Amino acid sequence: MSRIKPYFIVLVIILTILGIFYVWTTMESIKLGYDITKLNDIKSKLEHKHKKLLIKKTALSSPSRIYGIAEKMGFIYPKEGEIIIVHD
Amino acid sequence: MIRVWKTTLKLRMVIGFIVIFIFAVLLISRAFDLQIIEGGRLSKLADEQFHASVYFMPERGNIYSSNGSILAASVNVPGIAVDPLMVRHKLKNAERLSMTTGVGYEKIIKILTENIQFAWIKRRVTRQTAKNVEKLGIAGVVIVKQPVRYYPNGTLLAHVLGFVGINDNGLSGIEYRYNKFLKGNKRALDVLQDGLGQYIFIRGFGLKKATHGDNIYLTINKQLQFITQYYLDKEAKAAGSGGAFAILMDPNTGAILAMADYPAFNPNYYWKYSARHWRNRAVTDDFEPGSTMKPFIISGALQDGIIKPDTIINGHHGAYYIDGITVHDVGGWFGRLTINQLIEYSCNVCACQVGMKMGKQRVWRWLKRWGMLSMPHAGLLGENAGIDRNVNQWSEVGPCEEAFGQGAAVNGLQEITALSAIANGGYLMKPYIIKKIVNPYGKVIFRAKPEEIRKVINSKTDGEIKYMMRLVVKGGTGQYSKLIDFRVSGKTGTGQIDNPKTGKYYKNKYTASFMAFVPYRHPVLAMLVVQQKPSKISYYGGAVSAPVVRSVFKTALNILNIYPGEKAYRKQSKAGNGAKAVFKTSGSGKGSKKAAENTKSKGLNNKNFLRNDSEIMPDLKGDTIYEALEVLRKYRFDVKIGGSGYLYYQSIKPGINVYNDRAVFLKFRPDEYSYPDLSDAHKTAKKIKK
Repeated sequence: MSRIKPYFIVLVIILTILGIFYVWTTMESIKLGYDITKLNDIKSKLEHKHKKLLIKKTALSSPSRIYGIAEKMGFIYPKEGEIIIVHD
Repeated sequence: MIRVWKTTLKLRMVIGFIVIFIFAVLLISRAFDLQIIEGGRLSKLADEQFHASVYFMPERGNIYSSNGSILAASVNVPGIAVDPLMVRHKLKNAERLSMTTGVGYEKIIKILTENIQFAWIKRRVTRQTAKNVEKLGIAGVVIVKQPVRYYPNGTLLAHVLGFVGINDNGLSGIEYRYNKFLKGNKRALDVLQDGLGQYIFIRGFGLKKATHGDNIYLTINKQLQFITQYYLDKEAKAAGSGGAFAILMDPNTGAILAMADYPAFNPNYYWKYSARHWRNRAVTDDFEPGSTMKPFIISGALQDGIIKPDTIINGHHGAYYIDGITVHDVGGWFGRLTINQLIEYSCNVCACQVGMKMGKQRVWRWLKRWGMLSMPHAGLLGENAGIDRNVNQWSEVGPCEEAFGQGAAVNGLQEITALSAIANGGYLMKPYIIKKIVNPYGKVIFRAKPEEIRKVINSKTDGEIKYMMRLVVKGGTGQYSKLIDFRVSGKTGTGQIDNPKTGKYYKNKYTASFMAFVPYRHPVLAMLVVQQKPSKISYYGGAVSAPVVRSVFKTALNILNIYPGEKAYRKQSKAGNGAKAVFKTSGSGKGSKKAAENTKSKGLNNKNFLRNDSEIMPDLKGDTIYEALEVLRKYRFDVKIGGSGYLYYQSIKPGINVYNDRAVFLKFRPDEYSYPDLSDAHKTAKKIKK
């Protein structure tokens, strides 16, 4: 009985440690799962925002808008012969 | 005393055991009930609670211009939906919803009193409105996000792009034609969720991207598209046209650079326009082209040796009676004309006589050789093969009428493709508008290559017909397209319009067209402008359509950095800018023959360009790193990369021959726009000076 007892105690300790480790890893993986889900959401939102901004940028720089603004400011396309190539 | 205590202890122990036993039995029987009897059902319930199927709605692919600028893209926009059966205090809540969303009170009441489980209150609302509705906290009212298609450039290229319906399906244009590429696939994934309904990551999340739609890049140059559309709109309004279209093409490759229609519509609000506005006239409308057909028929007669440029034909002073009909010349009464003058002054009587000399079969054959009665297969919605009676059903004067463009009805795509063949030395190139299709991972799944259909006329005939078309602009009917700095070649056309009810031509309705290419010797642009039923100013193609071509050419050549003076252009070609087409069509067999001729005509080093493809630097502008590396894989040089995003600079210019192993430096930037590369402007200026 006295010979078995230390082994038994060691076994219980190992099992306990393993049990705690198992619970810890499970908890960590669930926590990481939540984190990844959150990051995925953030990523999707940022991608969406990026796309929206690109669309907005395209709309703001659309040739018809730029032309309209330029026209209001008095800019015109150069007439023929008005373009002179500058030589070095 | 001790005995009594022992007896009591025993009794208590027995009672204790009995109680524990009863509890144990109850527990075991409950466990048996939960695990064995109810096990299946409960396990299913738990699965349902912890596992959820999430539907990833695919994002519709984007459509880009040739330099990677967005033409169409989808984003999710909130909408307000309701389950009317769940809503209590309908009158009060209808008023609150009406105040917040701006939807009429009566309309909301009507929705809330319906016996259905889902209805939209408003499909597109701002984020602020959605938040305000959420704050109301009305049970049964939900915010639903749904994709909405945006066309950030408004009316630009609307007729080609088409539009998308409320269910994210393409209804017209590229959106409809390539719906299966753009739409992507809906995909359900099993995920774990906790009691609060929050998802817990599983591996399947990584597959989300695979379901999105492919991105389509068009050959359209956004700036050229704008100016084409702008000038067409301006002139068509001034001319009081019922409809008009213009096509701008790279004659060396068949790539469509711009395609504009009048009247325009905004695809963001397509439902506000009638179907008449949606039609892409440049592709769908067949019309009798009138005199723009002459160069094609005359070149056939020249090639077959029936006439020569200096052959004299009697113009019969503007009226020629033949087999029961009288052919008239409008706006000129000509005596004896050479073939050069026939084209220059657009003499119908003379063209009629050439047609009659050629005969039915020959005219028919040349129409077909120019691709006038074949499907263009450019990748656009609504393409058709044109209309003409079978040659056996032609009347005796059929060849006469066909020679000045009355008889066969063709469409814009066919005509611009044939014009490009005249411009590029006689090679009929397949028109195309899809540059490449890229999947959501960035892999190119389709890349268009210029495709030669056939060589229609030889170089001698081509030179002759080009010269005649040059005369048209120089001193003939197309003088309104004349530029000071560049030599333009073109042909005017004024076709009568058939009245489908009577089968006769309208007396006062015409199709006014003009087709041209520039620069005369080494064309880089070919353009066709057609105006239907112009009612103001004039109905002649030379008067109402030629000015559009002039304005577009003038601006487009600036945009493309092509400088005045063809000597300068040749120098540019040698530097690579103009050699793009040569690179794309070179190779073995037919292609290499064409490359050789093209090269020769461009005054380039023939020997260099007949080397195989892998030694000529391709144009990579606008490509992603992945695409650029994919293209350069077959080359021998080292590739050095700087930045990320889209390529805007390559150290070896496109079209340059690379003899030895050397390094190429590619610069990328995240911006999707490509700005004009001014890095070598001073060098070009130096060359011009020399």
